Amino acid sequence: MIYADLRGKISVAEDVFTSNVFGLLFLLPGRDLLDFLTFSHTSRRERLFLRVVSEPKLKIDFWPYLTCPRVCIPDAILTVESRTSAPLRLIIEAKIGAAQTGDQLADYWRAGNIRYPNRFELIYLTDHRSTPKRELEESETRAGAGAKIYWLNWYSLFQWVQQQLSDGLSRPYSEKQILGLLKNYLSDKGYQTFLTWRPWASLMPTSYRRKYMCSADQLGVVRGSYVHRYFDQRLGKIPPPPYVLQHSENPS
Amino acid sequence: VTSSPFVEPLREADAFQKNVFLIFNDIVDGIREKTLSATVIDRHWESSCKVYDSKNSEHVHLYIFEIAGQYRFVQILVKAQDNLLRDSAAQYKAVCAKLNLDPVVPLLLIYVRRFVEDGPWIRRRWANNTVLLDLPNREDIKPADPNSFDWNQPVRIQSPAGTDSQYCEDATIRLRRLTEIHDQNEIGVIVDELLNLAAHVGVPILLADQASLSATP
Repeated sequence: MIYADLRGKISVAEDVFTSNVFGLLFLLPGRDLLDFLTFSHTSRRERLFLRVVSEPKLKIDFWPYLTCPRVCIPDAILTVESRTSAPLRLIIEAKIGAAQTGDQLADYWRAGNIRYPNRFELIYLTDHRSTPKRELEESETRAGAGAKIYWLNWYSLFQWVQQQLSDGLSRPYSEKQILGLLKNYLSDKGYQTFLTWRPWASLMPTSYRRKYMCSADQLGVVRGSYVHRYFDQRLGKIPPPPYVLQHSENPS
Repeated sequence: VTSSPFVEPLREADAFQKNVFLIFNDIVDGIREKTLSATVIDRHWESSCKVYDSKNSEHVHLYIFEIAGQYRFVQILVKAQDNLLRDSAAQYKAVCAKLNLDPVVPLLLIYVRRFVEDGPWIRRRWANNTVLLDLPNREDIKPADPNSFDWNQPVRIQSPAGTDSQYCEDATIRLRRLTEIHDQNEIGVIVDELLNLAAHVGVPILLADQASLSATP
């Protein structure tokens, strides 16, 4: 929330969310943020191509002013420095539930085209579950010939973070912490996708099931309805297995 | 330490239901993403998770869409509606017996391509009909043979011409166990399979006949 606080934006939930997410992403190596953004695509499913070098130099500006042809304020501009050419600007407009105000995307594309000709891309990052095809097409039409608007959603970020956590066992501890925090944050905000079934009682003994199965094993009894048996034991209808008493009396 | 022995199973049930919702949403998203260049019309979307209803609980997710003039749908049947099981559900139970499923909690993923074009109206019951659930006990409704159902391969179900089109009388279906879906890759495979369900599959078209029904275990 630091960026939102610094820019006096903490009263706007969308800005706080954007600030939190990009603030955390920006703490990761630069290639990570670029890697995630390459999942953007147009309404025609053209993927965003970014040449990702091993240690790219990035700069991020939150809520910068673009003044041509009229004042507009995208949520962030990511500047990718290059030794051999002019820097590339990634103009990012983020949404969580709200629609565009006016012709935001068209305005941003026109402004980018004037200020950073041929050296910018526009990314629309939203909470749509699938590509808002019509909205993108209409915005491109309004922006003018040659306009190309990429789209990405927060669910993709959740999946990307999860993938990084799964693949990145060799990452430094601090990066894992950032990714873990980001995953929890996105999940808490409702941007989770299916990962896998969590270890399930029927698949992995836990708690009452484990207790019953352990006792059944020790006593050499045939396993029956462990749930009913466990509940009956808890309610005092049948005596608990001997090992429970031994365990509580002698923790060793 | 929990205050009641019921807490842990209920927490697990809660987590399970959330995962089912996520799977359903991800499948629908996958369908929409993979059909971006086509004209797809959303026809019906329903998530009914009345698992705590004392009289008529159910947990079903259903998405019906139209593409190239044909209806396709995907249904997750976690818990069959009590009313449907109370009524005559012999054929559905026979399908469950064939597939070794619990009829009350089948944990079933069904995806379907339906062939008959009969106007813009949609019946929610079509999805249930594909596994012979929610069929009235009428002579003119001739369901498919429960023995023709199988896992992970397309099965064509077809009723005689002229059958009341309220019921899903001609479709290719595929069945999967819900709990066999382990990750996003599986979801992608399911979406591909649904979108590529062929009109004519390599299994015989099995019309219902009462003899085969009575022979069902």
